[in-house]
Amino acid sequence: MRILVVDDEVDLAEGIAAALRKDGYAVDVAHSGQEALDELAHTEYDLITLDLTLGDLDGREVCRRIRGGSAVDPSVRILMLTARDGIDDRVAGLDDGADDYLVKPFALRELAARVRTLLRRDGSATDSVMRVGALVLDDARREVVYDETPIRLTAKEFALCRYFMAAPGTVFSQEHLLEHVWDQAADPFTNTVRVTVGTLRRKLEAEAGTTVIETVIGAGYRLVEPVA
Amino acid sequence: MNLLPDPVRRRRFSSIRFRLSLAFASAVFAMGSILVGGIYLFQQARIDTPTLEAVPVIQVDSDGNAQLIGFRGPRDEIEQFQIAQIQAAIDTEALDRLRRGSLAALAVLAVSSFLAGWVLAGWALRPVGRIVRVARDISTTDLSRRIDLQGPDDELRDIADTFDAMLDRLQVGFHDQQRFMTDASHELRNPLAIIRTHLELALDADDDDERRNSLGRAEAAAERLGVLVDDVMAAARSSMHEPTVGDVDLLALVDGVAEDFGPAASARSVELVTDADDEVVIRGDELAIRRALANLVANAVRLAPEGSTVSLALVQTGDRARLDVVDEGPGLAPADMDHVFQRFWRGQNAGRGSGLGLSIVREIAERHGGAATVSAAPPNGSRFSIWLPMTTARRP
Repeated sequence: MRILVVDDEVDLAEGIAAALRKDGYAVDVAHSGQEALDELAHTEYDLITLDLTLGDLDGREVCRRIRGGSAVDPSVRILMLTARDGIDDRVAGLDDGADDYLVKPFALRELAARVRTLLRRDGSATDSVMRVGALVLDDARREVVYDETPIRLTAKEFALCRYFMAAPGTVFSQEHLLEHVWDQAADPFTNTVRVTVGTLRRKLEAEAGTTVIETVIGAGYRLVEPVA
Repeated sequence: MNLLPDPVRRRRFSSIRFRLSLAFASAVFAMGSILVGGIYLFQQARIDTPTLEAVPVIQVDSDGNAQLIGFRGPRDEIEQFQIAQIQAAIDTEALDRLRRGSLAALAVLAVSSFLAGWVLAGWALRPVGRIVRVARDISTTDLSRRIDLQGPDDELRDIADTFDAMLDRLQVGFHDQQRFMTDASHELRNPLAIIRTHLELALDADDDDERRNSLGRAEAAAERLGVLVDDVMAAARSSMHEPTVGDVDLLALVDGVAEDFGPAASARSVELVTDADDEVVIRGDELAIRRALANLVANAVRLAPEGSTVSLALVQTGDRARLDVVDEGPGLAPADMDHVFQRFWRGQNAGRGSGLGLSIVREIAERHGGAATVSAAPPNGSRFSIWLPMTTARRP
């Protein structure tokens, strides 16, 4: 899952980004409305945290452009972060196309919970636990369990696992995974995707004893329901 | 909280209506008494007291028959005595009746004049009731309502209009204050959010570097919060501070401010020069003007590149005096020039500023009937100016 954090307060944007990265998301940062629109134009994000008061463009204007334009995938989730807590402000923000609204200062745990909820909305799951056969992922507790045995994963492996589990059976190309699970810091010419998919697959299959992540030659990878 | 006395409280003997009616009734009663008393005394003075002693008078006719025809008075004037006596008797009786009638009339007059006074005073004071009711409503609900008293252009209308004008000013002031509070609380939230976020990150940090980095950012934000709170308090104080208007020697003021910022400038290797020769004296609030100029110089000295020059100038152009602070960078984007004097506006390079300094400069200039402006100072600096009228147009 790739997230764009937009805030003109550099320290705040960096803090939010650091926290979200710890939760295994791929996070980029933009410090102005124009910068955010530029990022959105060439990267497909799953979620944007958007500050309402930006130096140049108003956050609401950015929101309207995202929702009004055809350049950005309309399924992108927008979480507005703002110092304005009036009911009118909130209603206006939601009317402009934001999916949720969080007032500063907020607890990082709440931010994380809202991000999880927003990213889950298109899926069928109603809580933060995803199940594919005997493989269970608890997003809130950052745990992956296979048949009641916990599997220790790194943050990136966890993020990748979550991405696969959100759409079991779907084939994802390396480029797609790089775009959605890694951030700008990732070098597109390394084999980081292949390596991480490899380690994740080894850990999962060591526990399951059967194929969990399948390589589709020439297309990419997909998660198959492990048969216990 | 109800600060006003309850206007529907029933006052009885202290109400202005009662007192007016009483005064009216007293006046009418007094005049009635004088009139009636005067008539009575006048009448009484013209009436002789009835005969003290009557003597029988016997008339003897031609046949020798004696007939009692009356009583003879002391003056032996039979005919006259008779008439006068009758007259006096009648007059005394009339005077008696007059006195009884007058007293009754006075009693009726007293009561009816009190009632008339009560009705008249009520009619005249009706707008006062309306003024009080609306004032009470305003104090408990919102400041946007007005008494808006219709009717003749009289004293009560004057009171209502004055009250309305006062409410206009109060509303503007109140809204300004409220907006300032809202803006300030929003501005406080950003550093708070940074502090909270980075403290949480520090608590959850994997290694010391990460923790140190987060704590450093939290500390910087806390420092910014402190500056912001100081400036908010200073702004609140400056808007409350009672201005002392007097002659302000701008030349001395420029020299004083330049002296104050000398150490700060040399600490950053910034040269601070003054270009002011002629004495310019205006009417104004010296402390406020000094503060405005100090805010400009503080910004310039804080943001100027090392080794550059910041110059202070005092110019008199026509009926206006102008204080200039010119720096050699980093300059402002043209789009930003419209915003620099807005409250809480902070430029990309502003660093630790609260965004209040320049808004205070503008407020002080405008209070003096002047203005604050900014323009580009080629090659890449900015020129901030405070324009002040030579004689202040408005009360600062």
